[in-house]
Amino acid sequence: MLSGERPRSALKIYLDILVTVRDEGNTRPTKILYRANLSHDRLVKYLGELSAKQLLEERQDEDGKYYTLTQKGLDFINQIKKAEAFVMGFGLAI
Amino acid sequence: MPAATIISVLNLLSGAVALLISYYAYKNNRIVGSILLRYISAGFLLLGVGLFLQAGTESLVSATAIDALRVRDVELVMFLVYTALQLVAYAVFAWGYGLSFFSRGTSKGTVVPIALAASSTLTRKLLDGAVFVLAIYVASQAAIVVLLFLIVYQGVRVFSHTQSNLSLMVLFGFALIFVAHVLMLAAALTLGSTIFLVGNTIEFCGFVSLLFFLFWSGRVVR
Repeated sequence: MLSGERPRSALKIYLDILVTVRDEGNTRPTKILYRANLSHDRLVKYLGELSAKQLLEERQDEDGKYYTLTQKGLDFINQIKKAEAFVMGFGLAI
Repeated sequence: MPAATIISVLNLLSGAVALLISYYAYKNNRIVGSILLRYISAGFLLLGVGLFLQAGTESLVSATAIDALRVRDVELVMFLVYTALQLVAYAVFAWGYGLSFFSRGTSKGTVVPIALAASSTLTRKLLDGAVFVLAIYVASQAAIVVLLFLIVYQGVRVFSHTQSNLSLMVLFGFALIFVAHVLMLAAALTLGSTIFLVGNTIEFCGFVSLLFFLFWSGRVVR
């Protein structure tokens, strides 16, 4: 519980990606990669999962792909933030 | 208003808060998937059920656990069951918080005899019929105090690590419940109704602190 740094959970990575897209608006993969601090392979994997769960929407323009947050994605962020605050009270992290 | 009614209402409200926390721990566990949240959910569920049953009995027989200790009627067995439920609940919390960390700390084996020896009133009472039930009740209360001490100690560690207001609220809640159970133990040893009432009031304040925690954790959306 109190053992210092530990690898980010998949849930935490989901949250970091979704919050990045929420804060930035229409977001290119490169921006997400830097803000969420992920390797390219992992970024592709997680973006695919989030799109499949309809938390993110993948769109295309002349400059390439970009992502937007869906209402379901916004609700998910709120839900996770509340869960994070709850578990923090007991010394846990998501 | 009779003490039994006041304590019954306090236990009812505390039980409602306990069940609410159990529900939120269960709900958040479905998102986060943490073993500790499962322990917290199970612990608060047991606590809530115990407090509800205790409130119901107090209301029904118009007597508190201390009154039952005095007359040593059949109600005492019921209060013993509720105390046992609380004991299991706090054991679940303590286990969830990592009881093994404290294996070299205070042990209930030393605290229980000291607490028992502290009261000459109890020594006299131990001589007649309901000795066994009475002794178990007091020993259970003593064990709850030990478990709550471990939980509060872990809460201090968590707060010193996270420095968050949320963990402070949880620590404060459990600290108040710990103080409350020390007073309830003292009430069981001295058969003091006033101490028991004060203990129940402080326990209720502890649950109010946990309710604040629940409220604030639900508002945190950044």
